[in-house]
Amino acid sequence: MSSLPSELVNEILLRLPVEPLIRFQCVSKLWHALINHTDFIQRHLELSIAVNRERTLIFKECDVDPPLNCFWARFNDEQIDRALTKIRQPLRNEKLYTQILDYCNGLVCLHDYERGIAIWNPLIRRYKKLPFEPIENPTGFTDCRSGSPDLAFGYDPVNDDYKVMRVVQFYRKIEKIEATNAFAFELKVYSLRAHSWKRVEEEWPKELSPRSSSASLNGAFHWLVGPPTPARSSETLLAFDLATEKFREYTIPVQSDDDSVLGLEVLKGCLCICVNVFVTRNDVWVMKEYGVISSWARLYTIEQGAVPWTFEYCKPLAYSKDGKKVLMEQDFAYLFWYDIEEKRGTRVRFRPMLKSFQTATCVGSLVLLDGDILIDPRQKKRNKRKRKSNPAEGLNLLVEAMEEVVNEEQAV
Amino acid sequence: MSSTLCCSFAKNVTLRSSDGQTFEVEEAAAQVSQTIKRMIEDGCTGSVIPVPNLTGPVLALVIEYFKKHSPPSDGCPTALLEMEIKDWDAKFVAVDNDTLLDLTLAAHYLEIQGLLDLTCHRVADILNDNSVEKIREIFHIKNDFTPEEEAEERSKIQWAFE
Repeated sequence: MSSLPSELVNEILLRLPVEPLIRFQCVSKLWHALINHTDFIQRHLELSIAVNRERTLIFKECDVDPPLNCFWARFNDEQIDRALTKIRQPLRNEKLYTQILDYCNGLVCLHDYERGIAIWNPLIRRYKKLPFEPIENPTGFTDCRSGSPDLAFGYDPVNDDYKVMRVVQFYRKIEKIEATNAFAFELKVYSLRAHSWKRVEEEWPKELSPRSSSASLNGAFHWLVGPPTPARSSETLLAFDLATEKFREYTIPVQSDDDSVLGLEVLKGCLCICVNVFVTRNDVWVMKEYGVISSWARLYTIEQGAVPWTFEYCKPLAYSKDGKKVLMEQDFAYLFWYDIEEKRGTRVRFRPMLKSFQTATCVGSLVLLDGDILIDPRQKKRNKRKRKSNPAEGLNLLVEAMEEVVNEEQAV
Repeated sequence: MSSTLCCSFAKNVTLRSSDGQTFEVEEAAAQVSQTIKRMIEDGCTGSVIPVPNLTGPVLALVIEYFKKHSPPSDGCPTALLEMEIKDWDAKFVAVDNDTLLDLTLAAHYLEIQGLLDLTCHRVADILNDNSVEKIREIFHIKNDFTPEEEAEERSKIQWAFE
């Protein structure tokens, strides 16, 4: 039997989940090179997305007493693992509220105010921490930042790059607050490829402030925006194209009022707006054809009585394979499957029970295989015992172990 | 060209393996292979078609696959037929590892997309359950890492071995 040519080995490896692929890097130098090749990683990801391979839910605990842990659960169509597995996240801050900023292509972007931003591939335990980037006040706008920066994370298919955008809004006190010269924005984009931040020359439309968290789709970041003054209504959808760095604005079919909040999400490759009418109902509108405002349509409504519990805020995470049910995250506390036809919800139960959490969804992806390695502290201790001979390594491990102790002490 | 088409109905072709064995097969069935299809179109039908990369036993197996997968003469395949073919396919690749790899190579060389998908899936399933050492054995791969390099690689990804 002659050995297989590498294009055939490629064809075979493409059909494997990430864990054996990580292991098979040790088979030979050729296999190592094949698995780490950017074309292979891209094709493997495309296949994962097409067949929903290795779908995983990531949970980040929030709003509870420390330690704040991360967990995952495998997720195959409507079957979700009941037992959650604890995993380590790269910002290693079990005390502060680390937020899930957004997620795509098997990557999760995390953020906290002390340790910054990290892009993380939980399935292959690799990450990249973003360099610190100072905020530069625009001329004439000293010390007048409005709230915390708005952040967005997503994929730029034109440049095959993952990007993070930071939007900082400034204001100054002038006689007429509505005037557009009362506001200014600092825009910066981080590129994973360049591993650096860059200022965006294009100006953010001054009369618009972000009113929702960002949603990333089709190489663009999106926000629901409205006038910077607290007045409700006249909300629109603002898109920032990552390749051209230009803004686009779209009208939306609904507006918020005193009793309702709008949220922006992505569901099955479409932008959608969740209208949460306080303790009454949850409407989901979807832009069926990207960028076509006439394609906005109401997807479903969950009336408060449709499920035997009350909810304030719901957002969709994923469809079931047959498209009849939607997995919903509710009030950062529960997940439930909502049957669109039957108008009925079924709660998803987990062990351990989490009181408050954020959710991300992943597929099997090797993106960030060249990132930093997230080492389990238990493994580190084992390694330390094993490899005392290398003094440089010993020192590194000691530094890491000390960080670990500091973190644990902070957590107490 | 049109004369070739009208005469090719239910016509047989002869394929010859690397070790000189010859097999007769219906032309329509052999055209499941894109490589053979092109050779027929180029007018190779008059003589024997050489298949130098395949030994007799492997070519015999591939011809079995051709016969099962040749387009049905009476229109679209039914769901029942498709299910039967699926079962047949599963049994077809339930062979020893060396034969499976030979079939994978044959599918690649003869450009038989269906067989390539089938064999690659089967090989991937086998790989999934096996250790690095076992995979080197199955694929006849020489480990070209030094023991230090391999230990270094493994230490980075210890979790995947647990």
